[in-house]
Amino acid sequence: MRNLLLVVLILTSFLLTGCPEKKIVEDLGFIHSVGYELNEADDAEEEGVLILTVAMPQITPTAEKDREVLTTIAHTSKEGRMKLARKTDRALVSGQLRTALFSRNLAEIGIFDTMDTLLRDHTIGLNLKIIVVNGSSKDLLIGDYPEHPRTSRYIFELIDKEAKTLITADTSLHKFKRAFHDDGIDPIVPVIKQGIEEIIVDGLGLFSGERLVMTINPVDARIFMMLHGDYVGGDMTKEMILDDEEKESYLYMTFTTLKSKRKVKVNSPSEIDVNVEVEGSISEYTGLLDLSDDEVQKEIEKKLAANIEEVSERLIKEMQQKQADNIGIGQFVRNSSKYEEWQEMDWKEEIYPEAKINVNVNVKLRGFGSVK
Amino acid sequence: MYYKKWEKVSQSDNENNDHTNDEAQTDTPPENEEPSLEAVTKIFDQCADLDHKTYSETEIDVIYFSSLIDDQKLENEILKPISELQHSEIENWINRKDISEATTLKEIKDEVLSGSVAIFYNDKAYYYNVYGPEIRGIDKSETETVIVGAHDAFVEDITTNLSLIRRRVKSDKLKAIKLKVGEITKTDVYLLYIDGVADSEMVKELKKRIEIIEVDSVYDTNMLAQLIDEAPDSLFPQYYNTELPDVVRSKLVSGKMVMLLDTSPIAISAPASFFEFIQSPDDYNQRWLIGTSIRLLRAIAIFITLTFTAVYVAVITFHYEVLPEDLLITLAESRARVPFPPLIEALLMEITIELLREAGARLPTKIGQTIGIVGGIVIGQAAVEAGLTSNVLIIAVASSAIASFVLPNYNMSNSIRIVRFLLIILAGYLGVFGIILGIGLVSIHIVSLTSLKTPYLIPVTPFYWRDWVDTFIRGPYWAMKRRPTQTKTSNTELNKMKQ
Amino acid sequence: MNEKLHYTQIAVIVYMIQSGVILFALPRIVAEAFGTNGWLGLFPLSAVALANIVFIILVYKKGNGQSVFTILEQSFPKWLCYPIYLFMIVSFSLLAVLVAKNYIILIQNAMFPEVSANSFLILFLITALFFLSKGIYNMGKITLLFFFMTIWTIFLLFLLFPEFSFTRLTPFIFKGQIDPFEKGFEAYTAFLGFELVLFLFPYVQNDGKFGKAVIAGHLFTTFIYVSVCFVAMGFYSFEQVKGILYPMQNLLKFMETPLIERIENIVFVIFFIKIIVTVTFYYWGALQATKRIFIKTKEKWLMLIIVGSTFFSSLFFEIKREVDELLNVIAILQTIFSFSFPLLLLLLLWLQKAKAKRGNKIA
Repeated sequence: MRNLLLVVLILTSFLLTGCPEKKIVEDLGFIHSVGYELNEADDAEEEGVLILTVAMPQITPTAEKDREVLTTIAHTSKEGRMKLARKTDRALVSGQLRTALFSRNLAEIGIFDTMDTLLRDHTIGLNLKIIVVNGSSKDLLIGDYPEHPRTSRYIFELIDKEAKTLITADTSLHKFKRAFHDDGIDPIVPVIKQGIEEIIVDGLGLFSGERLVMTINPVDARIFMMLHGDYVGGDMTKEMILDDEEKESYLYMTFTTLKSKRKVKVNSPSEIDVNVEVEGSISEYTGLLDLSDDEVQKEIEKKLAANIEEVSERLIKEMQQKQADNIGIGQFVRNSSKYEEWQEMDWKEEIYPEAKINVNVNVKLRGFGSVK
Repeated sequence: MYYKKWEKVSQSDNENNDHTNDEAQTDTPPENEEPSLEAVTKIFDQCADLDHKTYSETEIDVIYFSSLIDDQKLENEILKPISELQHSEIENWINRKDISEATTLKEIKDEVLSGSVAIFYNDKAYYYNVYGPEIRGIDKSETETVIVGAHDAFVEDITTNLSLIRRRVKSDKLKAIKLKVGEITKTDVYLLYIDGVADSEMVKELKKRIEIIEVDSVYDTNMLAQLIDEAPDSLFPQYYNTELPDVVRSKLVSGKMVMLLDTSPIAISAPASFFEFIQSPDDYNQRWLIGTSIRLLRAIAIFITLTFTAVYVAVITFHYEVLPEDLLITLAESRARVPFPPLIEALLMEITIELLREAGARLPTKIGQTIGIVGGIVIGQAAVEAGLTSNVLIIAVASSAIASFVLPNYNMSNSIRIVRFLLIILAGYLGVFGIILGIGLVSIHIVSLTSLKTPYLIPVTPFYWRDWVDTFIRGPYWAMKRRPTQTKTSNTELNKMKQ
Repeated sequence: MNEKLHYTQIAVIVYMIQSGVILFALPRIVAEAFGTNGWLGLFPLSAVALANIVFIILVYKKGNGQSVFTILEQSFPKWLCYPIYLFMIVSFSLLAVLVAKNYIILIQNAMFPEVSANSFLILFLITALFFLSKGIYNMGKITLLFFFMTIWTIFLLFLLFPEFSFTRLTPFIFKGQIDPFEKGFEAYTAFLGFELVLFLFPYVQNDGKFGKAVIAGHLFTTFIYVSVCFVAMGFYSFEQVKGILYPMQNLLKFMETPLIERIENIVFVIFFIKIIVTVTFYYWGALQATKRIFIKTKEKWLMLIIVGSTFFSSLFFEIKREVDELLNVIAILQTIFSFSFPLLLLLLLWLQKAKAKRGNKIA
C-alpha cells in the first residue's frame, strides 16, 4: 500500500512533465538595469510618455559585446517590456534586476507610477537600487564605456562602493518605499551622471514624496549624511586657514574615516536641536603648522564644527523651503508627541518649513597620521 | 517483513502437524536410525572428497572429508594413535581423549559435514572435531578503512571471527547463541550479546526471526539482514554492518546484538539507528572536538550528496533569480552550448559517474585507479569542451560523488545515492518545490522505519537529548554516561557492570 | 503497541499545526487589526486561545484521558452523535484541503504562474496521504523531524537586524485605523489548530505533562508570531506594512547571502513541510471521526475516500478570493467548535460523574 502510493506519486510527477514553464538560464535575458525617462517629444501623448531602456548581460560566447541594450517608447513599463521582447531572442525576465535608473525629468514629476510595477512584480528583489540620472537614462545606458564593458554591473558596483564612502546613499527599493510611506521621513537617492568615457556619482537626490525636489553635490553629501544618521567612513576636504598659519595660500585639510553620531532633541514641534558628534583624523594638510599642538587641534575642531554647522544650516534651510524632510526629523517629532497631536498637525507643509532647527556640531580629532 | 510470513507458515505447519502426527510416527525418518558404517557411506555416496580408511587389525573405520579437516591435526591426534594402538587399548583411548559417541545417524552426518572425523569401532560411531579448512589470514578491511585504530578485520571463518571478538570482550557475560540457517546449506549463525546489557526481549525476538528463516541458503550477513528486517522494500539498510571487530565490541557494550554468519566476513548489529551510519571508529580515537567536526563533515556530505546536483538542476531550470549575477553569467555562458535540457544533462553525467564508480569497483585496484583518472579527467574535460555539459555541472556531480564516498558505510552510501536520483528528477520537473517534496517523502518514509521495533531515527525523533552526545556530535567521554535508549536496556548506566 | 506520544512531541505537534501560511501575512493583519505596534495585540489573542486550551486540558484531566468519542457516546445515543461527527468530518477535512490549496495557490502564483494549481494539489495530497497512512505515532515522530527541518528559518530574522529601527515602531500603541474584530479574528485564526489535541487523548503518555506540553507548544507559537511581527514592524514603516500582501515573504526578499541572493522562494517552499503537518493532522482529526461512523471499513479506504472527496470538492474553489472566503467561514465554525466542544464535554463529564455518584448512593 505504502509503496504503491510512492509509485503513484512518482507517476503523477511524470504526468506533469513539461507543465511548469521552464526558465532555463541560457534562454533568458535577465534584465540587470532598467532606465526610465520622460519622453519630451511632441507626440509623447500618442507614442507613450516613457522611454524605457533595459541592459542585460550577453551570454552568447560568440557575441561581440558583453551586454545587450534595448530601448523603446511606451505608455507603461510592462507595455514597454512587451515591445522590447520583440527585439530579442531571449525571454526577458526581471528576477536579476539590480538597478533602476530614473531620469531627472521623470523624477521631478514623480516616479511612483513607474515604480508600481517594480513592487508588484514578485520576481523583482527588494535590493534593487533606485538611482536618479542627471541627464538621460537612455543615453547613459546606451553609452560606451570602454574601460567598463558591462555598464549595468559598473553602475551597480559604483553606487555600492561610493555609498560606503558616504558621498552618496545606497537606496534600495525597499528603503525608498519605506521612507515614502513613513510620514516622518522622505526618501533620498543617489544621483549619477554621464561623463565622457565614464559614469560619475553626482551626489544625492532628495525627494519629497515621490518627486525629486533638490540635489546635493558630492561635497556636501557627507555633511548631509551626518544629519541623516549614524555613519562611519568617508573623507572631507576643507579649505581652512588657521590663526597662527604663516603660509598664506592654498591651505587645505582632509579629514578621513569620519565617524558621525546624530542625536535629535525635540523641544517642541517647531524647535528642534540636532546634535552631531563627529570624529575623524587628518590625512592631508598643506600648511606648515605643527598639528600635534593641542591648541592647534582644538582650533581645527572648532573651525571644522563651525563649517559643518554652516553647511548643515544651509542644507536644512533649502530642504525646509522645498518641504522635504529627508533627515527624518518628523519621526522624532512624531515619537515625542501624542498620536492625536501628530495626526492634527500638518507636519510637512505647515510646521516643518517654519520650524527652527538648530544644528550643534561637536568635532573630535582622533589623530593626524603618522607624522608628528 | 518476510519473517511475518514465515511466522504464519510455521504456525499453520504446527497445526497441520497435530493432525498428521500419527502418520509421521509410523514412518521413522532415516535421521533417527542407529548410526552404522553402511548407512553413513550410503549417505555420502558419490562424494569424491570423502576419505574412508579402514584399519583391519583394530577393526576401526575412519571417515572424514579431506577438504574440511586439518591434515596435521588428524594425523597427530587420530590416525597415528590408531595405527599404533593395540586392540585392547582402543576403548581406553577413546574415553581418555574425550571422543564423543554419536547416537543417531543425523548426528554423525552433521558432524562429518562440519569437519569431524567419524570413527566406527565395535558397532559404535564416534566423532572427533578436526575442523581446519584453508582460510584467508586476518587482513585489513577493504571497504571500511580505519586511519587511527585497530586494523584487523573479520575473515570468512566464523571461529576466527569469534576469536577476534572474544579477545576484545573478555567477559563471561558475552553470550553466543548458535543457530543454523539455510535449508540446504545449514550455515552457522552466531547471535552475540552481552547478558545483562542487551535487552532479553530483543534477543528473543531476533533469535526467533533467525530461526524461522526458510530459504535454501543464506549467502552473507547482508542477506541475513534483509531476511530479518521489517521493511525489506525500503532503500535504507536497517541493520548496521561492519567488518571491524572493534566496531562490534562497541556495539556489544552499548547493548546491541551482533550476528555473525559462517563464510561471511561481515557482522551485523541490531538495532541500528540512522546516525550509526555516519559514525566511524576513527571518531572515537580522535579528541572529541575533532571527532565531532569530522562527524559534522559527514552530515554535510550527506546533504551535499543528496541535494547538490538537484539544486543545480532546479536553479538552472526554474530559479535563475537566486544566484548572484556573476555566477549566473558564468553558468549561462557554459550552458549556452549545451543542447539538452538541464535534467537530461545532469542525468547523463550522474549515470556516467555511477558507471565509473562501478567500473572502478569491479576492476583490480590498479586498473581501477586508472579508470578513475581517465573517466574523471578525460571524460569530464572532453564533455565540457564538446559542449555536452556545463562545467559547473561537472563540479556539482563530482563533488556530490566525492561526498557520497565520505560516508563510512557502503550500504548507506548506496542508498543515499539512489535517493539523489529521485531528487534530481523531481527537481527537473518541479524545481525547489520538487526537492522539498522529495525530501519530505523520504523523511516520512525514513521516520516510519523501524529497526527491531525501535525507531530508526532515534534520538532525533523521538527526541532523547541524552543520546545526542553520540549522534551528529561525538561528545566527550565524560558526557557519555548512558547507553543508547534505542537498545531498551534496563542497564542504562555505563560502568555498572564493574565487579 | 505500548507506544505513546511523548510530551515533547505533543508540544511540537501543537506548534506545527498552529503555525502555517498565515505567518507570511500576519504582520499586515495585526497592523490592520490593531494599528501601530499591532504585535502587542497578539498577546490578548494568545490569551483567548490559551483559555480555550485550558478547557481542553480540563477535559483531559476530568475524563482521565479517555477518548472524546467515548465520553460523547457514553452520554448520547449513537444517532445523536452522528451529526456532531459529520460536522467534524466535513469541517476538518475541508479545512485541511483549503489550507493546502491556499498554500498551493501562493506557491503557484509565486513560482509557476502558468501551471494549474490542481496538479500541485494532487502532489500535496498524495504526500499528505502517505503521511497519514503512517499512523499517529509515526506522525508524531515525523512532525518532530519536520520541526527540526523548519525551525532554523526563524534565525533568518537575525539577518534583518541592521535594518531594524525602534524609531519606526513608533511609541503609539494601537493607533491609526483599527479593525480589532474582523481583522482581529483573522489574526486569531493563526492560533487555531490546537483543538486537534482533543483527539490525541488516548495516544498520549500518561505522565501528567500533557497539559504543560500543549501550553508550551502554544506559547512557542505565540513567541514565534510575536517575534516575527515585532521585527517586521520595525523593518517596515507602518503604512508600508499595511500595503504589502505578504510582509514576511517580502522581508525574505530583502535578505542576501553571498551564494544565494533571493531566499524567499526557497523558504516559501520549505514551508511546505510545515503546512503538510497542519493539513495531515486535520485529515487525521476527520479520519478519527469517520472511524466512529464506519467502524468496519478498513482505515486505508476511509483515508482515500476523505482525501479524494475533499480534493474534488476543492475543485469548486479555484482562485484565492474564493478559497479565502470559504476558509473564513470554516475558521469561524472551527472557533465556535473549539470553544463549545470542550465545554460540552466538560458538562457531559460532570453529568456522568453526578450520575455515578447517585448510582453509588442508591447502591
